[in-house]
Amino acid sequence: MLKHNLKLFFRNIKRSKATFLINTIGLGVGIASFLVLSVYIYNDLTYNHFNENLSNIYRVQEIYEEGTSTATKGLLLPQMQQEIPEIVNGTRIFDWDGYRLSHGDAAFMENVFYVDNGFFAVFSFPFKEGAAQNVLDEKYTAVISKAFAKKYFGTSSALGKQLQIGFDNTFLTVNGVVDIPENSSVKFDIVTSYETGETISPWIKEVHDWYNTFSETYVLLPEGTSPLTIENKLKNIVKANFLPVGENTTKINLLPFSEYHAAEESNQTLIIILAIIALGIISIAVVNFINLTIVNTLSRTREIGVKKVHGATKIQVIWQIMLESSVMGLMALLFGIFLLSTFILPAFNVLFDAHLTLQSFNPYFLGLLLFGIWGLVGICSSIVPSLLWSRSKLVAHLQGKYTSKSKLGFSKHSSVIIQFVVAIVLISGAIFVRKQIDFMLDKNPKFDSENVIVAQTDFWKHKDLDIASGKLEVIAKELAKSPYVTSVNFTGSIPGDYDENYNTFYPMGESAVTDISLRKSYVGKDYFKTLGIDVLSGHGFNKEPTALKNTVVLNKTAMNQLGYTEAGGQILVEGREGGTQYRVVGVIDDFSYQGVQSAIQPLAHFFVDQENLMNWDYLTVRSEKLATFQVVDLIKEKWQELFPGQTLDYFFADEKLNVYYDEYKRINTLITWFSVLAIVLSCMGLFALASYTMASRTKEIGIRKVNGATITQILSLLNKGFVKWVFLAFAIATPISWYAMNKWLEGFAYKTSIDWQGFVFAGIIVMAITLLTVSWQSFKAAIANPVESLRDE
Amino acid sequence: MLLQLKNIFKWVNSGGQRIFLLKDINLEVQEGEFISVMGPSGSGKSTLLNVIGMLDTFDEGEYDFLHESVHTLKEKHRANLYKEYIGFVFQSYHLLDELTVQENLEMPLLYKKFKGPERKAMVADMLDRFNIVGKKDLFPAQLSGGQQQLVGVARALIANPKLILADEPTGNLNSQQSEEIMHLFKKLNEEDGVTIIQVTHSEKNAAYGSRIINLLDGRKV
Repeated sequence: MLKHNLKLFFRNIKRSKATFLINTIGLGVGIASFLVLSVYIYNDLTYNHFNENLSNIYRVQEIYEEGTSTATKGLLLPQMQQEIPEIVNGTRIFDWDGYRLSHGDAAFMENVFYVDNGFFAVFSFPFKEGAAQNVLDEKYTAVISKAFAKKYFGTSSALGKQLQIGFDNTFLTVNGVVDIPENSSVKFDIVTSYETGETISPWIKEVHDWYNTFSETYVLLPEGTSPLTIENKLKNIVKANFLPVGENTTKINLLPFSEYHAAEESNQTLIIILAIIALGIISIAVVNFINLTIVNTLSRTREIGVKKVHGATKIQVIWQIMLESSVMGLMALLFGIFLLSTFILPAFNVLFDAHLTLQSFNPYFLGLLLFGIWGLVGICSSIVPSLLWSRSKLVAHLQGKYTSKSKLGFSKHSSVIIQFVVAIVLISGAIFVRKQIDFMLDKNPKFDSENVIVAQTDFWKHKDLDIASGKLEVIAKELAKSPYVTSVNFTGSIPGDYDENYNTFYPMGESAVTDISLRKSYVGKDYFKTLGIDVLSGHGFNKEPTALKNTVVLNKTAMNQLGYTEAGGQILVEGREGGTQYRVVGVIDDFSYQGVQSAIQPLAHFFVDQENLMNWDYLTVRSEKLATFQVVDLIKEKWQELFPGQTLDYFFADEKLNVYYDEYKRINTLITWFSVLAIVLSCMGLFALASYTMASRTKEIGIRKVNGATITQILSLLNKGFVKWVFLAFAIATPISWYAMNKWLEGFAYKTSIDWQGFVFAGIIVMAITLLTVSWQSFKAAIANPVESLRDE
Repeated sequence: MLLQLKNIFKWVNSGGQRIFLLKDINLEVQEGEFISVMGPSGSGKSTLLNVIGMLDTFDEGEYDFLHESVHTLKEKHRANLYKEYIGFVFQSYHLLDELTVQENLEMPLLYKKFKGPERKAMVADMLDRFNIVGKKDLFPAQLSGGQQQLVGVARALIANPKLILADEPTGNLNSQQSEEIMHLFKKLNEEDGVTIIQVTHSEKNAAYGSRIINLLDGRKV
């Protein structure tokens, strides 16, 4: 019997290949897309879950009047461990140091993290080589990531290998390799102990005081201990140590590490959007599959009638149908998983720069999910025909008829409306996300984004920095001589690469505020001229270096906050009473130094006259208009001349800035993909529904034609019904989309407007596709010879 | 006696009026009879056949089949009864398009729980008896109408029913094909003793039967 049923099933597939393909591919694609989003969401929701002590790890935050900071004072943790016995363990992470590391021919600039000994006890990084126990106890030992190990040592074991620091005679010995999970908030390439770090870079001791906040701090509390119980002790530490002693109002807060990712790192709006898309796509796919299967099954009513007449029982028939839909569901499922693992997941990983695999899922969860979808489509698509058949008469079956068309009709139409709604929301979403991105990209950055070339000095590549500096000076001078070059400059910051370096400044004399937090950056002579940033008043560091000592150039935002109208030598005191005094010598326009989704901050530029040019990160060159390529060639030529064998890393001034928009471009790509998918899936559903509707109206069409209706009249009659559903869907989708886009745009300081054109455009796309899909079917029905359709009776 | 209908009424309500499809039908059928039911369109021939075949219900009256009171039986028992004793032949053959001749013949046996080897033997026997061994692997679409109906008759007979019900078995066939099928029915009736009730429009086909029942507006005349 099973053999008989399977045989019939496969022959039926052969007969209606198109339906079968649409059905399986539709559900398969739906499942694959659903899974890829699920993996991403699951990955995000299970962030840091690999840590065995997750529920007892806390990240220490300092809450000031101006806001909350996850960077903490360097001496805080040792003090906490000394005074608060409840703290089982803890670690700081210092991620501000970096230098050249090399092993054999492999040499790279590396960001080296310094951590306390508790690091590998607080976090449970799985060790690929070595073990967590006392791994960093010995000085000059390091633990590296899997990727780092591959970069330096290839496939050979990294344990015991040595990494040379800079060009000195000191080495770090690899004592462990960890496989850092994709969804870990704490990620590193290489870590070593604080002790080692303080020896390599003695300056870090200076920034570990009760004023600077350079380190991240994590503590481990005992199971069941609430951070509230140590609140008073934390208050005492602030009172006794934070500057100014006794008057500091900072509060220390312990943020549960389990909540850290959602609170600080993850884009929760994106997660919610993705979850909605995932559910929308899978429901479209499942409903379509069920509808198509039902329509297809019902077209075989006669076969079922014949079988019943020849002895098949109701149960046997239900089994046959259920077998068919579950085999089909299984095929779709397998196709979906195949599609996911070969195309969609890799593409998604490239797009989002992630390393997700199906194994990222908990296998039970995945199994349940897949089994659930399978069961749902299998049962639903066989129950409905069975119910319909059991309500109608066997004699009717033999004529190929079944009852209850009206009820089925409603559920079908509602499913099509939902599909249209999802499609319109996604399309209009894609339109507005694109609009916002263009809006941000098109915003005048207020610096010369076309003619400025930035070259990295790559100071870490040179053993003798004095010689290298001399060569760099030659390059700069030669470039300045070229007729194509307007201006040359050395700088530590460029748009898109401004350090997160803030300090509080106290204005002397009349001002709107008593203190202001300024974002600091250090630049060389002619920075503003070279970048093409307008100086609004005063000058932009184009005086003699001696005249520029202790001067500052502020941006317009800073000036507005201070209540200054123009640069006039106003004095700002840095840090505390008696701190360094700076004269305001210039005001620059609010140029874009970070993505315009964030509001412009008050910026302070300080002038530095570096003895050694290799202390700068960048050499910037502004070319005459239309001469950029000549200048690029010139830089390359000079570089080759003076640093033979070294590649020049250069880019245009707006490139780093545009990195800020990458995330939105990804979201846009994603939404565009999924809107296309939603359209394709809805088309499939629509196609099925249209063919069903046309089939059930064959006789009506025949009668109308016999009585003189033209093809055009019939077409408009048949299409009218579907047009109505699109309008209804449009009415439902527009407010949803409008609300969602408003919510999304809230996150932007500089945002585009939501105009009606976007919605109308989305509506028109859906309408056009609907008419095309439906007309395909209705045209066939309309041109059919009425003699054929009326002969049946 | 094979079956007996006593005062059978069947009606539908339409626009507040009761329209009779069958009106006071009384009929006795003995084993081995070959009955032709005749009458104009809408006279209730097919309805009568469906009632006899238990594919359709009736509203009033009694129906005994092999001494079982069909009107008192539950649907399931009724189904078991017709599955065991009745074979159906349809005007449009109702062969399953996706099955070969051989598989079409085998299909009813699957539902009657015959074992594999037994099924094979019965199918082979039937193919042999109807002289269609050479066509056993063809699909219905590859056969002529007459051949399809031949397979339809063979399928109706395969489980050895006591009664064959044929609703215009030659309605879609040309005259020569019709004649062949009628000859076949005659032979089955005379040589194998199968009881046959057929619905027909044609006087000539009706003449093959041993008795003719005429219907008009749901009433026997």
